[in-house]
Amino acid sequence: MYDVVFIGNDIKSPSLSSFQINPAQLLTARGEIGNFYLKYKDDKEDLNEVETRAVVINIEAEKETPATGLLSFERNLDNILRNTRKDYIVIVQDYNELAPAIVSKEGLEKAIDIRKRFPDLNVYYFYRSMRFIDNNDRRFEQARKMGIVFLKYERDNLKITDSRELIYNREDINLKLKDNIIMAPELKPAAVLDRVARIFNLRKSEKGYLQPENIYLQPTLSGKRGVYVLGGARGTTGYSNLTDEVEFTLNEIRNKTIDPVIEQERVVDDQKCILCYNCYRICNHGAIERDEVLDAMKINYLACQGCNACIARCPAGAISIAGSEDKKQSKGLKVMMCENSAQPAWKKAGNKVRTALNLEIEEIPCACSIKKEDLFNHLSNPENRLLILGCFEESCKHINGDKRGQQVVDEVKATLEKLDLNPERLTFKRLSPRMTADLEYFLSAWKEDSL
Amino acid sequence: MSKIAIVGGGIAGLTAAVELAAAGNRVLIIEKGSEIGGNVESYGCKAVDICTKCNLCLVDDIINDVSSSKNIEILYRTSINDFRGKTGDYTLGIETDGELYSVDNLEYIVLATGFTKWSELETGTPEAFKDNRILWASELEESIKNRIDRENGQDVIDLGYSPESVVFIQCNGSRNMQEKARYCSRICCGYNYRMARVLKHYYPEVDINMFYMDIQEGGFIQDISFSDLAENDIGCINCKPVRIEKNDNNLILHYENQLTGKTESIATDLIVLSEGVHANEVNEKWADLFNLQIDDYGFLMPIESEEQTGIFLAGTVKGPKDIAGTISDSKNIAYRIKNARNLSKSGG
Amino acid sequence: MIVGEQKNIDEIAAMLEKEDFDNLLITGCGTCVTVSMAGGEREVNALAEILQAYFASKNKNVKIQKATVKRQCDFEFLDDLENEVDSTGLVLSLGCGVGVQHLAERFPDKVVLPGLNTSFYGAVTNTGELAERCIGCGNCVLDEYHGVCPIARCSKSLLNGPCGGSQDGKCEVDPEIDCGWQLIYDRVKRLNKLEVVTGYHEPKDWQTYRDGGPRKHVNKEYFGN
Repeated sequence: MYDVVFIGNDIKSPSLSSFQINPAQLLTARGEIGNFYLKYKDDKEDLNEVETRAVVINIEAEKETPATGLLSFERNLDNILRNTRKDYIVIVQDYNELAPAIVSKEGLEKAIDIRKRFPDLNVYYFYRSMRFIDNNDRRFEQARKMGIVFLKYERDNLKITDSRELIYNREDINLKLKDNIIMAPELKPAAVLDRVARIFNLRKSEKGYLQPENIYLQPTLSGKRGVYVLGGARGTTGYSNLTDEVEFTLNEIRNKTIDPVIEQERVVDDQKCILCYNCYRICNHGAIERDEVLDAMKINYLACQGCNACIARCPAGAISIAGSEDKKQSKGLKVMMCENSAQPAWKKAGNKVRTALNLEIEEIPCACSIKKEDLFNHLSNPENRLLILGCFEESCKHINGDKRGQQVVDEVKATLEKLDLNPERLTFKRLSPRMTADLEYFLSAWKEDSL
Repeated sequence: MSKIAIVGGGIAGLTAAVELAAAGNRVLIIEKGSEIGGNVESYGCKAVDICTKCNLCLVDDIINDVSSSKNIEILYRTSINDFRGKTGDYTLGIETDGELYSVDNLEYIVLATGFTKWSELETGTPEAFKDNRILWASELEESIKNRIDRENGQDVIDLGYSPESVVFIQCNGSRNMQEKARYCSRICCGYNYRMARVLKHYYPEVDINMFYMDIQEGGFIQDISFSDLAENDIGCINCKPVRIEKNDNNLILHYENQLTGKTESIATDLIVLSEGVHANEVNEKWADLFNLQIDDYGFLMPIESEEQTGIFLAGTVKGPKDIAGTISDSKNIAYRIKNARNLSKSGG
Repeated sequence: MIVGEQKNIDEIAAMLEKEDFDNLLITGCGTCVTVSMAGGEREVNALAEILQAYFASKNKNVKIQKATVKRQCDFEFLDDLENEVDSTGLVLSLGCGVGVQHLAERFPDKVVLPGLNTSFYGAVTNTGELAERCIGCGNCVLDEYHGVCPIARCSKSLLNGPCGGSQDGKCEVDPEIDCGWQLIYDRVKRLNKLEVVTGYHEPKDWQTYRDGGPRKHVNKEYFGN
């Protein structure tokens, strides 16, 4: 049993036992925090399995040099610079889009290194915005003191022609430079991330990196407890605080006590489960896998974060909370509040307001936990109204529970509309825990409107 | 039974407290004010249609955890006057509401007293103080914090008037030796970008421009690019304005166009000034009392290893950090304390 | 897997409108259409709730019963429904077309209505998404095309190369659809079997499809009692 397995680059730490697996050789990942089982092929193509408490995915982003034919950061320039007939060298950053801090850092270090070793060459550094995180402000100052010429440009006043000539115009400066142009790279997700995402059942961001941007997954957490995503696997800004993030991650792996997040256990009825894998696909915490003995899905107790998406969406009705009872039929106005947004805001509203409004409140773990049959049930009485309060898009603790809730609401409303059952009785609103004033206003307006 | 003292009840101190308390340690938070939360308590949600990742939701979780923890004790309105003892068994002389006493048997001390906003320091952009159309970012924040999404045409954000255009000026109290900060404060680009988006969300017709020196990443997970700004219809002008001219109708900013070198001007109804992150003046006291190093700008650094002295620094007491950065730094400090504790227990 | 899609609720309502009943049994099917999230226990529960609300709005007093069996296409499972069907006036099946007919055959005295449209044979391609892969032609040609069926995957079922309307790998019929022939090309190129796209494929014998009328499969090893 290792403390941590690195998928991709290894990070040595004296206090943790670790193992490294090449992402292309990783085959399957099972288990949960504290006990992951990873199968991989070794260099001799033999099948192996390792057991680990935690996993760190540490895969570099791929680099691409925009505008072909120019020099890249990777290239060893010693020969070129020794033999050049020009008296300058040029570095261009932010050519298509602003570079992340890691690229500013590499560019500044490159410029400083060239300046030191080839003092006869003028170094021109073209940029649109210098990214100062990761101590780049110090590097920038050092570079300026060394006489590196920094030239700011905007989209309109710097061009690189097809014949690889750089043309720059600003006030009284007009430059035409050919040769010795180093182009800063653009970063893009490594191709192997697709495979890793599938094996660990992790979500990807819009740009294709591991884990969508979500405040609850900072700095290196993934939706799956015990799996961490570092650096270039995380996104272009994943490098900006890398030293701190590595330290955090390793210390967390060393220290995090493994307690279940939830008190009530979600259970799968293995007689009802039809192994459709819908729950597996819908679970943003990678908490569900197939129980090979029972041949039914099972929920990993430590990995589960209690959002109830699986319960709400199991087409066979096979998942439930152990020991829970059926809900009573409710009457009149009812508000379902997500425990991560509306509920904290509501609690801050104070007793007076809460008593004055006198609403039936149902606490729900996430908007994704609503079931359409429950919504239909409450709305079967034409006098009844239902308000569902969820999180803003991209702020859901369960990654996209707000969207899942919205999907159900949209479908229920469309159904009510078709049957002429007044869909206006169902409302979905998003808010955050800080919006107590907004919530109070909205609830009283909604109540007034409903009566 | 020994305790861990945490000085400062802001987000840094609270995060460390929750993490340490969850591991069974007794934690004492020493807070100078009458409430916990610190700076972040005055901030409001910056979500528009979607979350703009201001990270305040994390703060609420932490504050809830603090109030439900049995292992955390909080001393309000309390300051520290004295420090003595030896590693692993420190005593702090403290004062609560004029009453002097000491707490002893402190195994570790975490200093988490945060930062000061540039606007709170005496020096600043002089024009800023004499016109209600020129606001510090934190003043605009007050209005955004209590926004109410009304349906009857009333203003969502109460400014007292409805501006047709807003100009944000970045890098105040940052990147300027005269303003005692050669460094970039790192948080203002993201902060003002979010605020601009909130304004744009409720008042889509408002013209928004941003004077900037370099656009920074917007925080731990959010990049800000020119295309993000363009998508949200936020204009940007690359320089610091030279002069602000005031008249009854509007404010006129004169600036030098960096491309042409010519002086141009822009008129606006509202100017919002970013506020750099500056060291808290109490840092000097900590440096003396706890034998810590103080950097060129007043931020603290340890002289000896924190594990050896048992005096740890968490959050912006060490330099500019955003909310998420502060939280993960403080968690990390808590982990390091747990490590140190386990080592000393196992006799290592 | 047989993929089904629930009929529009107003269509179901209109269908029920024509019948006279005060007792309704909604039957789900626990196999294919549960996987396609159209006719399993969850959908039965939801449909029962919304129909209850609908009948109430029409001042109709209807008792709704629910039952989901493992497979509606086996009499052995339908036998379990005997009691429920006996006590109901009408059966609304959320099984595929096979299930509805099998119910009707098993319970000849009851009206059995379909709540689903049986769509195609498909595979899960994304969370909540299924896509057609086979039309059940009765004479598989996947050996010739190395794993991508031109009949099911090409909008025009072309057997000898693409139509010319393919753009960036997408079909001209609908740019959401991958061009079947692009998929075939990509695959055989990878397998180094480009003769599949350069060679000639004989016209297909369609006698095994629907052209000979309803089909039957007899397994000689098992047949008869």
